[in-house]
Amino acid sequence: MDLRNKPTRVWYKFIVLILIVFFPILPWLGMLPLGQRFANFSTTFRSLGQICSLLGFSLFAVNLILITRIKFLDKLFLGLDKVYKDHHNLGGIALVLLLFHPVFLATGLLPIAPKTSLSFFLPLELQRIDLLTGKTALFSMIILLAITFYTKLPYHIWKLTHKLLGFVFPIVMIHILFVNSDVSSNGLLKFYLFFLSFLAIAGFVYRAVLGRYVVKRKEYVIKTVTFFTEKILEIVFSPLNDKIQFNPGQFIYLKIPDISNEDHPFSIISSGNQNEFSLLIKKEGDYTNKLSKELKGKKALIEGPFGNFNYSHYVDKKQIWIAGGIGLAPFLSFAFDLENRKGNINIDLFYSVRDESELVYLKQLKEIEKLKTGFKIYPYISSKQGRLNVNFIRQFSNNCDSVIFICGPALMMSDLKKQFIQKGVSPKLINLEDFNYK
Amino acid sequence: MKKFVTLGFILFIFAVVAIMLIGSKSKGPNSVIPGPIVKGASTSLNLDLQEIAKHNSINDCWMILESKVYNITQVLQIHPAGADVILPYCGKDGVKGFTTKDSGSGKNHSQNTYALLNNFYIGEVGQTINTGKTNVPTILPDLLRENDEEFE
Repeated sequence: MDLRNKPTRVWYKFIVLILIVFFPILPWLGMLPLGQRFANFSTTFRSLGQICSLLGFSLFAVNLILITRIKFLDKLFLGLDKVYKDHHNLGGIALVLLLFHPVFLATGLLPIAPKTSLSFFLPLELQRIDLLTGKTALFSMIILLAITFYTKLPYHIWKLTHKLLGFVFPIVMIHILFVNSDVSSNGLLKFYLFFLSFLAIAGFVYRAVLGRYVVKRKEYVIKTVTFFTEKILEIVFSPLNDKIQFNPGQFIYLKIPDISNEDHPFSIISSGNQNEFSLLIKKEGDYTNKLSKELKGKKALIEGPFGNFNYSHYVDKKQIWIAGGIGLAPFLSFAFDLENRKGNINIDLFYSVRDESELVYLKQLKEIEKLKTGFKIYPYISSKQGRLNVNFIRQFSNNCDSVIFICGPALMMSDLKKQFIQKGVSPKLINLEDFNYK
Repeated sequence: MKKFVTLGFILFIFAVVAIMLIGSKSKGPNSVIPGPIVKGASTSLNLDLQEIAKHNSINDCWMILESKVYNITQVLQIHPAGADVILPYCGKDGVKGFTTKDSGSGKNHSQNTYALLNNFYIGEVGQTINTGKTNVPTILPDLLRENDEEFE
């Protein structure tokens, strides 16, 4: 696929998702005339309840497939960061659809059998496997997703609760098996849903259950750890065996067994395809706060690279790079790659930090600015100059056709994107590195 | 997405509360015999086969299942396979059609459907009942127990 044709590529993802999620509706529609499905109040709500269950279940299955981190998804979604963002959104939609599945079914029964409507929500009936599994699964999803959407637990605790959703999925499958509805009487529908379930469970087992043993990771050793400030450090990794092949702007998942079993994503700051690579990290959370000089010589396991945040797709165009704080990381790899690139370039880098003491790699970037005609760097101190905005940027870079790359705090990225669009910049020209899902 | 999910939760809670209120406040299962009340008419009715056979249309459908009589007129409205498959059994014994899904998969109806049927129970064949009085058995029909193995 042509990586430069970004707008078209974005649609591939939507088409694939729509086909997978909406496919079950086709055999369902074919089973009865549409008029019969929506003949009156009761049949209409029954049908809506069934549609919610088919779509909700398909989305749930797709979401488990999305967490596998397979390279195909990284390409289809134009970056693994986008995969996780979509996983979050699709999870919310699946939950709401599944909430309304029993609501619509119960509503449909209200005019003719109001007492029976209650059975969808009243406490568990142990002898009714269909209702027992449905209620258990729904209740579990509500609790586990409420934790995701409304709490800020420490990452490792949150991740454990989130993984439990993978164990809720088989309960939903048992519910479908016992509920004795359209699914069990339509061979194509039954086959499709169970095939999707197989992929979902396989994906969950591969990544969440057996990930430690089966996911391929390359072994590196931590060569150096350098602190620029109390919180910002650079780590250099040297391969023990095979090395990773990466492009500028890509990121990897880092696991250091001596400090944690978790793996976390970080952008590579090296230019590309070297033996060693470096990461620029800010100590902000439970995991990064464990990083210290004592890590030198320790083994690291690297998964990846991932991501499609790459300036080289547009070297013939005017570019604006905007880095906020530690969001400088991918732009460093871009800048180091520029050193080896021949031909004309026209690139402005706006590097915003809160305080001057947080500026890192400025000397190296200034050297590239001297060597590379067409590359300019504009440091920006927000505590003195206010929040970085498009008006400031346009004083130096006033080209509506510029391709824009932004990486930094989520609020900064969404704010700047809105401002650019308001100024008439096409959204297709704006590339965000969703750093903050990491 | 958080706003969307929050709205979903709020609507879900409202809907569940509304359904519980309506469901619990309803007077009872719908076993009321339809039809106008004629002044001076007798208030008792004998559920013999002759009487049951009179209720054999789409607007007034009774069915016998294992000696139990059900007024399933309203069920015709929501029957997934349509009313036509049930009509031949209105006013008669519907065991064959009900336990085999007559023109469908050949399998029995689900536990859910049997539970739903309780709402439409009128009485036993041969029983004399008072019109307007409802009576819901707490034990499911024997048909369900016989077919339990199919669901295990």
